[in-house]
Amino acid sequence: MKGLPLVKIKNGEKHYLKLTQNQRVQHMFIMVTFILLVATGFPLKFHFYPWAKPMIEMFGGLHVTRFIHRVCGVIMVGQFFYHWYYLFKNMAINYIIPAKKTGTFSWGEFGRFVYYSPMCPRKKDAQDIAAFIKYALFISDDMPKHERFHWREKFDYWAVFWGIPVLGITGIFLWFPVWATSFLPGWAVNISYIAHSDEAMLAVSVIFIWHMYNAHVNYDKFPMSPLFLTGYMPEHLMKHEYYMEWARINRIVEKDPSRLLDLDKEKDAEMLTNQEKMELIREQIEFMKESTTGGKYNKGGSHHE
Amino acid sequence: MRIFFLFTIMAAGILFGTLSAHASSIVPDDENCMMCHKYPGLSRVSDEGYLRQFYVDSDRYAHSVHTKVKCTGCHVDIKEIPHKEAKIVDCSTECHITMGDSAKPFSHSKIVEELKGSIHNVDNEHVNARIAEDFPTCTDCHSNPTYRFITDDVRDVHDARTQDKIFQKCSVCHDQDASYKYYFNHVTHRIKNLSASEDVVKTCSKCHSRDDMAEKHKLKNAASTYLDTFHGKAVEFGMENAPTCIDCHVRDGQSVHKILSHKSPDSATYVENRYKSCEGEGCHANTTREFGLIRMHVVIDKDLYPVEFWVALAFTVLTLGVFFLLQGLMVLELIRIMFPNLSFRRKRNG
Amino acid sequence: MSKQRPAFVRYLYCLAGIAFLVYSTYIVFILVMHIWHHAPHSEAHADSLSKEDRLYQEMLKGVDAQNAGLAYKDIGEIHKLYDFHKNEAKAVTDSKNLCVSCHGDVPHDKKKEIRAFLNMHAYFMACETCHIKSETPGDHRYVWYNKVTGDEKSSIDTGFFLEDTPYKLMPLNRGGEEPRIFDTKAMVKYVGEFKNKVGEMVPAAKSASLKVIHRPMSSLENSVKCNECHNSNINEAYLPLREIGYNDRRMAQIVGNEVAGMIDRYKEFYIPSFLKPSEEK
Repeated sequence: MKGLPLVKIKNGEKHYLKLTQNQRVQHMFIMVTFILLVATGFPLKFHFYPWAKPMIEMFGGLHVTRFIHRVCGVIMVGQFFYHWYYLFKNMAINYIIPAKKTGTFSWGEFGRFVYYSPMCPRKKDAQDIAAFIKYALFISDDMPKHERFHWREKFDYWAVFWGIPVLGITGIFLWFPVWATSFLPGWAVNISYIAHSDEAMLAVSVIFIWHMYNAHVNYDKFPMSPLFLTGYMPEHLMKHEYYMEWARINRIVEKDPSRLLDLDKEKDAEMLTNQEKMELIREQIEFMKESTTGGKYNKGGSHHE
Repeated sequence: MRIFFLFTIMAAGILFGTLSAHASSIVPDDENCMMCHKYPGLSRVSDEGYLRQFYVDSDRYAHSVHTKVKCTGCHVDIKEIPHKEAKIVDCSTECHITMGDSAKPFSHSKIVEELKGSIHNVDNEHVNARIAEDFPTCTDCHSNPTYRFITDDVRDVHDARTQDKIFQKCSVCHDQDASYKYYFNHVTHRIKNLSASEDVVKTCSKCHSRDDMAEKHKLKNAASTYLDTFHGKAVEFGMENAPTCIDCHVRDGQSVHKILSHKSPDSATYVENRYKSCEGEGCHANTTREFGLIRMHVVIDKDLYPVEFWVALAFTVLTLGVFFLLQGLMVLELIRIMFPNLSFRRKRNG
Repeated sequence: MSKQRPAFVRYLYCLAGIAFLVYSTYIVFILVMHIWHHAPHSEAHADSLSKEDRLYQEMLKGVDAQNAGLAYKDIGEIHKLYDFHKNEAKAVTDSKNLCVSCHGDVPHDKKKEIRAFLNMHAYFMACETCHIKSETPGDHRYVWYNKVTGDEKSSIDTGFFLEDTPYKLMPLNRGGEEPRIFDTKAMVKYVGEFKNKVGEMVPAAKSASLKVIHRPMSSLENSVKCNECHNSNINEAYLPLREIGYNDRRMAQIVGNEVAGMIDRYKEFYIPSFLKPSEEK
């Protein structure tokens, strides 16, 4: 089998792969550090609210929150760099190396490879947005047929792609102001503060409302989607929201049935009939009985150590 | 005359100390002021409409730094009982106690002189608005402080040194009624950093957090802008030894009473000196001139700080623009979900 | 929709969602706009007024609005300007006395020279003690009531001076059916109604009601005077000091030369009409 199965059948429903294990771990890192950064940073930004002080004290004081905030910031920026590495690695593995090895590399095709990679904004997204607006304004009843990541997810992705450098660079200026002012004017630190806290405000409002809505609480997924934990999406959602991706995966699985994992069938296979169960139980009783009465199984028991 | 006077005090003190069970908590009151001023109800509404309470908590006074000063030592205009409304106390008065090392009468006149040299004097050349009543006198910042001896501070020296143990040692040579307790308190009180950071900020905030004052004197709201900095937040959230107003505005080694305008070249906040003030103990190391120019009292004001203004404006527009757009899309979608099959096209088709 | 839910669930979900989104937009707007907020400048104008004008402004919006034209002043609200000696914690305010409910704990303000002394006495003596003088000696008996809880005691520990005692001396009728000499049930009810309505009353009705309320009071010339208690002849003292719990030593202090002498000096030097606390209404 090549990597994770694209489709899993469980409890009679097909589940489609949407996030690989690596992507889920990346998401987990960014999620945990983001929550901690907000929890330690917002009480400082909004120090004049009554909840600010209890929140700082809950962590154990300013020394602790400052430490947590800096550590999480470093991890988040580290992940940003890892993500660049991850992108280049995927380009190499999935196009450049095989293409060079087979002697068919061309820049044009490489461009198309990047253009059609899952997170790259392209013409289809503009069409999807237009279709969504038509749908939302009661002009049409047809919902856009999305690919693996629709435009909302791409927006989230690129917002973080822009946000981390802004927050990271301004954050490091605020962390080391003496170093920053050794080559920048003093007001650079002042605007760093404004940019850092305002950009954080934007990130928080977009993530906690827009992203949560799209990923978890919209009408179809309410109250929660397990996607970020399992990486798989049930067929009814997949077909409804990611029609193109649903069709694409079905095509692959049709060609290569080894990409499908039928857990239900496996489970059935593992199930014992009543007849088999009773046989097993009786045999074990027999075994226990023999061992206590000094039967044949008891001899040489000490060798087993 | 003075000798006779001292004798009277001593005699009264000894008499009082032996007679009364409350000797430790009651100030020797040979002037008999407490006859009336011991009652919390001794109060009235002043002509300005403010409530004034004339009660003096003698227990608190006995533990205050002024405990050796008699009432008339400060309230010099009161000569008899009953008396008319007393004048506001002038702290530069020479009071009836002498300094420890000489026979000179003690007074706070040196500090008053320093205050006169500072920006807090209405006649200072850098004052923007010469409104005498807005300028602070001693009692605007200081109340009568009580002696604090924190035994924990001495524990590092010797773990069993409680106040009582120390006094026991003193009493081996000195008489019980002698001044060692007073001098002990007098010195230990000053060992520790006297005011907690938040108290310093609170004191300055009495005036510098008021917008009307800032407007009159063509200043910024120094307290609120300070509280928006990391320094202010550190104080607010209880970080020990966080930098307060005086850490930046008082030059190293100078009296805190001599705070100068940032326009005066001797000032800690003068542009060319400013970064040196950042280099205090436990503060920033190896600072540069530009570091000193990081603004600590920022207001978002187009004319004053254009860079900050435009950056703040750009980010506000970005944040609200993006967020409102997304909210709008979500609301539209929810409305659409309420009526799943209600499009115009279908109507036309159907 | 592949998941089928009843239509009303869908409506409920969407309406709740829209309400939440509108509310969160409002919250985010406030949070983002904090950077542009300046502290309100309204106080600035109050301070550029003269002292009298400022006082008038304060009376209009603050003190007076709360107490509807009554002269209530809380003894806990000491002005910071006069707080060098830091006495904040020591003052028990009276929440039981009917007079205090309008006049406050600091009721005397006319006679400049003695108002603080009178207020000091009002701290542990109910207004009725001096302002409703008994016709004949022995008409009144006395209790100490707790200013906070209202508990009554026939005597309290007066061995040391009454510093921040929570108890206040209150005269009661010795004989007769009604023990209260002023705050009878009928009067409490009347005053309560008056206080609720006083905002809308025409001046004539207001002064008529005030007259009814203050009818039991002795005229100010006939109020109990300082030297009626602080008098070296202990048997002639207006208050039965021994009966209300004073021992010999404390009685000696009250009627002694320190206090009584001071009152005489006041009488001579400061204000010859000292013992006639007139013109208070």
